[in-house]
Amino acid sequence: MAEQGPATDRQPVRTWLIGGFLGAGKTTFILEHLRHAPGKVAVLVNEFGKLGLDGDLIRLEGGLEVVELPGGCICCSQKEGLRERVRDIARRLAPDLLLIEPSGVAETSELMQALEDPAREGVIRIELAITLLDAETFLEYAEPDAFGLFFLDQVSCADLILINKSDLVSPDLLRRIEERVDAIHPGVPVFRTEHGRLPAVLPEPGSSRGAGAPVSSRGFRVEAASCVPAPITREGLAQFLGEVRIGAFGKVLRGKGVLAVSELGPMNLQIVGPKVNLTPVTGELAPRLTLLGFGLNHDRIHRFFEERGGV
Amino acid sequence: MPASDIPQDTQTSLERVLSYLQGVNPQRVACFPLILNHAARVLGVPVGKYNRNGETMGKAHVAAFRRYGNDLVSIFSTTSTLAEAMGTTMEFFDEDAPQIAGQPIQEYDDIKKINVPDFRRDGRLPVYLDATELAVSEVGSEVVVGTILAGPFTTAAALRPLDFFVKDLYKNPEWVHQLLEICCQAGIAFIDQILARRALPIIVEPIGSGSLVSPRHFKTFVAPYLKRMAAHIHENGGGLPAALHICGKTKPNLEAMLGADFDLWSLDAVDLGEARQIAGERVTLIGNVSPANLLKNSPEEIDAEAREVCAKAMGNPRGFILGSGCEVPINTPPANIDALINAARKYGRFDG
Repeated sequence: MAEQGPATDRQPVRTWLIGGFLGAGKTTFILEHLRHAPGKVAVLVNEFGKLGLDGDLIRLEGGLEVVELPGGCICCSQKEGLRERVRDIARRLAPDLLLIEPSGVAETSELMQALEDPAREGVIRIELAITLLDAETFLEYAEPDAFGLFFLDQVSCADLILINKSDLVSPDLLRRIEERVDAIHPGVPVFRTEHGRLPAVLPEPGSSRGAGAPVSSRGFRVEAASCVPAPITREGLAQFLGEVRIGAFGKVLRGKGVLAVSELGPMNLQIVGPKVNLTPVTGELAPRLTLLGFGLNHDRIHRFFEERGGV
Repeated sequence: MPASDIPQDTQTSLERVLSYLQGVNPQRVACFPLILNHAARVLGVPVGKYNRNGETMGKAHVAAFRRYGNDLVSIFSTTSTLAEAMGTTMEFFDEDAPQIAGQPIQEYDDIKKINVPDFRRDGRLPVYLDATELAVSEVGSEVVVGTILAGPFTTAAALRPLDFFVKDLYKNPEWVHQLLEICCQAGIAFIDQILARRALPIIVEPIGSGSLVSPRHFKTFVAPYLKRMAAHIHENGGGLPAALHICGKTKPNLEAMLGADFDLWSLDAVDLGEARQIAGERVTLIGNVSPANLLKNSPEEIDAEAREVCAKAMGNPRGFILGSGCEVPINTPPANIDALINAARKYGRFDG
């Protein structure tokens, strides 16, 4: 494989964290996502052979790269190994998307902290953290004294929760799982999945709360769109949020980032379902925006900010 | 502070540490930066060679002690070394610590393959023991030489894929206890080997951190076996204390840790002021400048962080030793380790 230039010459690699305990369906979700993902995708997994593929570095038709995450140990000394592996992937493989599947006992917050350096260096951009839950075991394992901190941390740090194997449990149990998730991480978008796959008819997050659903013959897949937003006026911000609300950019479940609002200064924007939270940013943070959802209109999102000077 | 203003030590490292055992204040607090694989850097040898040759490992730690004046020589390779001697396979690197490549227990029945190792030949145990002998012989009259071994829970978790093992706690607790019994027996045998070489056994149990294990599981699966190891050291160590290191987030399990009856706790991502409230009457606290900061920050920042740690822990009723929260990263700038030890000289004084 030919060496490529330094990562600093490129856009940061869009990066997703795919978390969840053993048996929740992380690998199934990744394989399902890869069926539809455009461009070149690199997958950083916790152990060899995890995707049912041989070898530590495999090129498949369609541009998939699989690299092992070393060790599987949560100990602090291993974090540098993870950072180095991520930098190496960005430099050598320059994928369009990097999926990181950590160990089933990894704390999402620790993983994000470990990746802060490559994110700050512009090597990667962490777009979202998805956590899959095993519908059959979640409530049992979510008891406060069942496991260590990792289990609930995976829920509380996720941008999106997928309750997998939803076909194997009763509707009543699913409702109780959703209530428990909402108690741990209020407002986080939650969807029910089977075999890591979202249904063809997509209900609103929370699933039991009614349909509403755009329809797809292939089933939906999670998408994220990122951009560097230009400074925006309060009026422009209101316009942007209005367009999010009416679905002009697609079905937005979650939005997060830093916007430079001309009358207010840098503001931290958090969109969780219908709720919008805007708080001032302290310190220096570069503007950025990530929207997570389904059927996102990437062109329209980029155009909205390009027209205002963003990229 | 200019180097000339840093108070000079008139006690040796050994005198300083013995003060703790005698229940009197040393001239200043001892300092235990956990210099492990970083010792290879000091000797100027590849980390891979350090990890596979006992003489090299021992010489590296002697060189590190001569260079830094740390108050504990700590012989160590990985937390999986005992498991390696029991069947776990490792991958070696020239410039990094070895990492687990494969575990021998994939199915429950594989436990039949697991035995207490032969310390003369299995895995790299001879490397550890040769390094211990060399370090004790070279600097044992000046500094405490410790040899680090994993606790039963961490060893068990290195014999089986970690997420499977964590699930086993819930799904097959009796089987987990069987495995822990073998690992405990192996650990006690390792302690005997270390004591026979006049070194201090130091138990590390990182997989028992609050990140992975709830207090309930700590009491059930971790503390009882650690307690047996501590008792073994108390009964056979000729007055040596039992020392325990758990890195990561230990706060949820501090109360449960008391049940293991260790005399020294080396802690990482926890407020030592809080640990002091819970355990200060019974335990000497060691810690806890962030290893990541040792790698990245400036000596001035390390000095400031160490000063804060000292402010929280200096009055601990059972004593305090300044240290790193976990392993000093391999590529830590030497000036940062100097800054940490100098901070003990500046902020940890008992002589006025």
